Amino acid sequence: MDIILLALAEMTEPFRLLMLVTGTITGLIVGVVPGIGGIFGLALFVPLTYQLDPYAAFALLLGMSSVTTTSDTIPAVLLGVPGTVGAVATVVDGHPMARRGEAARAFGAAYSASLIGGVAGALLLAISIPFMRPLMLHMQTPDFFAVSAFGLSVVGMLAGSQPLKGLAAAMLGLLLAFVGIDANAGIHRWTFGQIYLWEGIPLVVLFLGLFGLPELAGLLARGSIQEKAELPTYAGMWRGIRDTLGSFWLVIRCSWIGTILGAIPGVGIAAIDWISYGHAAQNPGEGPPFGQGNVRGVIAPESANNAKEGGALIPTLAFGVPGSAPMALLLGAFMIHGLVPGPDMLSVHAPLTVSMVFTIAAANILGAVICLFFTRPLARLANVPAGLIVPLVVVFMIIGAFQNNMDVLDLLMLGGVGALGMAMKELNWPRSAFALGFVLAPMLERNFFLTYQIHGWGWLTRPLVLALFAMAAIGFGRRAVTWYRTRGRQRQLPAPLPDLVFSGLLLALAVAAFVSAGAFPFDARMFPMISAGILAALALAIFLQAAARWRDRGTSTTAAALTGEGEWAPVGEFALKASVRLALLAGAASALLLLVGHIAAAFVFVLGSTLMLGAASWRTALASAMGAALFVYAVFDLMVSRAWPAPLLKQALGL
Amino acid sequence: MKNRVARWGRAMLVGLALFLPTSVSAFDTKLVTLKVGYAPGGEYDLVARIVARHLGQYLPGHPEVIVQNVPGGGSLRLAQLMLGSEPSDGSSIGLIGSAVWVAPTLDPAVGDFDPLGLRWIGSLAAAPDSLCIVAKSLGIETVEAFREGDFILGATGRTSTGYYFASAARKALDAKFRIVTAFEGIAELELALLRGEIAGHCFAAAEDLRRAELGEHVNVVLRAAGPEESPYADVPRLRDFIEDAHMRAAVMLLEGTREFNFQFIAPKGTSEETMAVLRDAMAAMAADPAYAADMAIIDGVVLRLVPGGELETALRARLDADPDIFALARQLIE
Repeated sequence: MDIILLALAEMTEPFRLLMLVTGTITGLIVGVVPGIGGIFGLALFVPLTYQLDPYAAFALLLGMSSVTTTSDTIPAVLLGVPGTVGAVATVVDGHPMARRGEAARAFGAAYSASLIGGVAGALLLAISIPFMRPLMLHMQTPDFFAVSAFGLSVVGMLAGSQPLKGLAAAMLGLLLAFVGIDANAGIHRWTFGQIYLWEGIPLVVLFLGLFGLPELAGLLARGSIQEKAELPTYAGMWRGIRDTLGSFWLVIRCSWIGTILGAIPGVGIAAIDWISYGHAAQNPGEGPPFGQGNVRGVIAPESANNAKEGGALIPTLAFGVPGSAPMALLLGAFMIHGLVPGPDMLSVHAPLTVSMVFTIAAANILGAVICLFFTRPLARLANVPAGLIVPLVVVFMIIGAFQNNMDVLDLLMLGGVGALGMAMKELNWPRSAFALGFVLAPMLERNFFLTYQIHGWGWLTRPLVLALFAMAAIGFGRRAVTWYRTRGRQRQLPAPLPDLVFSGLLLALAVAAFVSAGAFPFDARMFPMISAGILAALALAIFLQAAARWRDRGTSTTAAALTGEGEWAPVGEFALKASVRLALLAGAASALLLLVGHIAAAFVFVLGSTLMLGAASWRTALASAMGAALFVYAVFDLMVSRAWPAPLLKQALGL
Repeated sequence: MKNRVARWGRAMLVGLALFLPTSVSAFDTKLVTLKVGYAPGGEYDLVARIVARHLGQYLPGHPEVIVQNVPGGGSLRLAQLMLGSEPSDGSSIGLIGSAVWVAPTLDPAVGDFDPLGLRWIGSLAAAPDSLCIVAKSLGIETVEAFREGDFILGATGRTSTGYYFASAARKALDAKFRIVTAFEGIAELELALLRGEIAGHCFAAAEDLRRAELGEHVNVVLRAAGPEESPYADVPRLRDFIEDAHMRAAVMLLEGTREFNFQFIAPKGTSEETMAVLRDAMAAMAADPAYAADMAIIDGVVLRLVPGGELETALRARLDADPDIFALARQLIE
């Protein structure tokens, strides 16, 4: 009790509170800009904490990293563009809600779920402080492998109305995750001589392309975010809050999922989001199906991703093993302040540890309240013409993706993945299943090899392993039974010819991957070959199905008449046109970025494309362009200096 | 359509007039990018950020020094970039791992990498100890027992220095232990040791053992690498158990992968004048007590500047060694 009071007294000193507020507000800003995220903010702030005492330093750092997953909901819901990788699952139901005129409700649900989830995660962290070391010492690598295998079984819930496609999408995600240097064997897997690919496909760029670009194409096709021109009201926001309160136990369960999985090193925030989303999908409750704007699809990931921070602190504090990427940076701050993770954090430095719990809880409350305050004006954006919004979002996405490596390949990768995302969206290949496979693959592979090398096959009798495998088998089995029972039911399907082409391409890719993986050493080829083999079999089955539908095409549903099912939300006959327009816009923004630099590109692109799309007057377009350029300058030059490559035009002119 | 193109053209002109002159350039001497070959967090990242705080004041014009993380391949990715696409005017410098210089000779997969193309600004710290530790519960206290014992040592990847040392110890001593790879870092190795999944590893430093939770649970059996002056100077060295001169030289080559810690490099083609400016600035910074005070927060780091010229000469001499010794070194880590 004394420790709690001491921590409270330390935390409530005015300067430390100021640091907490500063961190929280900065975290909210960082979360809202697609492509940057918590690590960016922490890397910015860690050096600034040299002069601060540890309480103020961790108030600033944890305040910031705790709330990026609160504000990242704003672009996810409004635009379908995840603010950070922690908001990707929120896109799937949050954005359809905004399209339906329920942006305020989605925000109300998301922020209140973030608040309760974040506080519940902090509480679980507080309760686990005395047990965290024994718990971490009890868990072994087979348990971590079983957790990741259980996580992958959630793909059954994400597989959508065409389960073969869902499973194939997950296998494609697994396969692409193996691109890069295999850290264990030290060999290159499908890097094609490109240094850019050594670290694999960048997660931020992948998710921006896979989810962001296709949703923007849809937005261009529709003309505005919201299909009905209704003004958002505070009543909508309160309804969302009531939705969260009505799903209280879902929030608590998902926050525990977030905290517990957050405590396992290697389980990233994206995996936690999808696992909690899949958990919620098992019981969709009232309202539309998951994928079409079910509010529980927003509540689940939002409560889990805010709770994760508390969990990730457990191995960080107890053993110095970072529970997440931001925690690796936090360990750097530990060193700066002379703190050594381990037993001392629970004895000598216990008040500081408890103050971290308070910081996470307080930041989550403050962040959610600030966001709720802005809900109504933000929700009004849903009525703004697409021609005004899309140029702004495209330029932030392009700059956000590019600033990761400052490499033109970032832009090409974004475009390539965007094209894949558009095809998957149109043809009912669930991107969520792909995302889950991608984020779980490294953990699955690494923990399997550790487990096998250390324990042989004896680990299969561990109680936790057995329990998790049984839960995975039951969950997946139930889903398979549902698929079997509904197999003959008439449902709307995409046009057969594009399906035929896409599955044919995937089949070729899978066979090529399988054959080329044969040249890798045994431990580097096992998982890629398994993924490629299963993908090839599934792609072949889908190819044959599509071929049969193409043969009987006179009776098939045409793409123009589609309404979609589950996560599937095709734009139909407008898809190609809108996708081409968006590709041209993204290409123009990329070219301008390289040609004239980030600030001039933001101005020129927003001004030019807003006028070209005919959505606003010169004056409005000019104001929008000025605002974009100033914002880019503020974030990428004032907040943190970045070494942008010299613009090509400047080089050519010899300036 | 014509109208739209005209609008684009006007927008472009307005934008260029307003903003092009204000764009920040990496090639401006007012800004130096210090690229670190590891992810944010961790010792290398922290050293880079400390150096970024101090180096600029010793460079002409006192440029701002900013840190950019370019992780990949144990910093080999950054070294490759420094050989290719980075500007050689001093606006881009790098911090790489201590074993990068020997990578192409030990790992044929990176044979196209030419370390001699890099320019070294200097290294900042002395070699830390790399100790083979084994859980006390196994009762292994001597090298003989270490050689005969049937247990598991852990390492990160098979191209990590920790694996090199464990593998060299196993082969040079003809030991029976197994090596398990795929751990993510030293903290994860220690956690696996504490929960009994592995018996130890060959990458422990003196500061790790100062922590009671680890130090009290392990025996230090062998020194795989480390400086002459060390609190563990009385622990037997691996090289002392090897009679064959060539094999001994191969082990010493592997020891050299830890010898120069925190190596700062400039891109290929950097002129002698620019190198002199960078090396002088690093020497001046290394003599600054404020820099030393900041570095003191990193437990176990023994500051010792090796100037770039000296470092370059030393690394060249090592790479000129007998090819048979490299072949033996490769056998030791296979």
